[in-house]
Amino acid sequence: MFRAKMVVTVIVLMLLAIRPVWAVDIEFSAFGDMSLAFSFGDPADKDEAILFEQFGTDPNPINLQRGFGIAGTDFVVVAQLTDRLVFLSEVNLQLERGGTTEIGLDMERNFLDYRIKDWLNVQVGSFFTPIGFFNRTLYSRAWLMQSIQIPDLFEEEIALIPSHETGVNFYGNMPTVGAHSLNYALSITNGRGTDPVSLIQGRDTSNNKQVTAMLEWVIPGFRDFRIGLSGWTSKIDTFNLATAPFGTTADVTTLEPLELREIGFTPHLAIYSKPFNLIVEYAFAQQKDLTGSLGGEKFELNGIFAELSLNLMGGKLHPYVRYDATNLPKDGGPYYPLREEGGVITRHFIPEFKSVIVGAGYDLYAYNRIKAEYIHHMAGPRPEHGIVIQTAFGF
Amino acid sequence: MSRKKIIHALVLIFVLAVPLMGWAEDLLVIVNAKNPTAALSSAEVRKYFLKEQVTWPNGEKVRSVDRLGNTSEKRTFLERIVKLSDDELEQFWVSKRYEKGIPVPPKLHSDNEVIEYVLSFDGAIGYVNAKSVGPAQRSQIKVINTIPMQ
Repeated sequence: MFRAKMVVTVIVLMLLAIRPVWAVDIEFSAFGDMSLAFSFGDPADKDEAILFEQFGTDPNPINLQRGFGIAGTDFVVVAQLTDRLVFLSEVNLQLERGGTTEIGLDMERNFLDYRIKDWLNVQVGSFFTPIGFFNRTLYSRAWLMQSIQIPDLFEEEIALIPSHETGVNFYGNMPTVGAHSLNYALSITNGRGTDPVSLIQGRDTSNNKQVTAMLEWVIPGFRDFRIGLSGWTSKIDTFNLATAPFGTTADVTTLEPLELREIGFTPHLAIYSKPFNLIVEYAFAQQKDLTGSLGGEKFELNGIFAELSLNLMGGKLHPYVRYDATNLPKDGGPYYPLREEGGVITRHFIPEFKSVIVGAGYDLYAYNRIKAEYIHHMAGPRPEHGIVIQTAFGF
Repeated sequence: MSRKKIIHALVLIFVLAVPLMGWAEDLLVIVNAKNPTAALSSAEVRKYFLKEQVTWPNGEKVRSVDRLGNTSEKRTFLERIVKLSDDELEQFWVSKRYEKGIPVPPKLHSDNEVIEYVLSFDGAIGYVNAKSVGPAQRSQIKVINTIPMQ
């Protein structure tokens, strides 16, 4: 049944890619990659490795690759319905965890974009949460990224920050002095579900809404130079398993409801210039107990992502160095460890992440980049050392 | 004087004379005559061409148009205005379409096709060699920036 749905989806996408003369302008993009990876050495944190093996969300930590692997392929359709109205849909065909032939179908984005003025555009639908730089522009498209590993901080399947949302988003660009300008975004959306990886897309049973705001100064004279600050706030309706041991599973009907107030902010800096590129992004999130079941306690997350890359050999060779880390609340706090399936919630162990990565990418063609990197894990359950080679494409 | 020296001298005279003979070429950044914009700096041209700004001050949608192939006009425009290589520009458009659903500009074969495109769309912006613009077309298009060719 699922395979049949997938086949139908692919056929629909292929049909959409065909452009009859009478149709609206339709453009079709795809992104994909294939990698070969080796991991060796002891786990960076042996205690976390034991906990993760027993109570993790998956037998292998997300992003740990061994052998050959295809992460999946993204298909993006952009339809220019009118001069001002654009429809964009992005679906991702990806291998399920475990690396077998089981393919998952994931709707990444699906929105209508009404362009009124440069300073006022409205998106309605499902889109990347307009926070930070990475989540809005690179997300996890390997070909757009310099390095290979998707940072845990922005990994959709860990969902430390709300990477996607469904609702309405107002955004635009306002000129200021000279060629300087300000980008802004303001969204009101359904927000997070019972567990962090479940996005409320179809039907929101609560009145809680997530509000997200982003302001970004765009500095001229560079290929791209942005300094920005974004933040979000929402109420999360979930269930109280905070004091239960890892691995506890319970039916939601037997659990005490838990309401959390989440606030977060992410300052970011992104410079793309002829000789070098620099992305630095920090994220802070706090979840406060509103019900009093946890004594009104606050649970805080910190994360950082920093990447410096050079553009050598006419912009084709990109050596890079990267550091990223996540620092979770004690035992993951009351929300991040939860995963719900069919009305049953399990409390998992969510590991922290700290690594240094060095590597290089080379643009074989405009639409194909090959990369190789060494990763040294300094925290978490992953082996201390890893080497990954990747070929990534986008068009 | 040896034959070699004579040839060198003739080549030198020819090279020095080219600008005086009016053969020096300019690259013109052009828009439709209905566009109220009078002139743009190089940074502003870049902004409109790359659709960092997607509407003109009069609300018209920006439609940039590019050239196919590795022409001297394209090389000059990319180096002086866009400040990206051809491959980097391709990558830029793919990521722009991915991020914001902004369409990739058409790539046309000749200056004449670019002029036709600019004449057809009120919000068009493109670049052509000054030699390609005939007297009749001068009244229908507007030159908003001029770049000496390399």
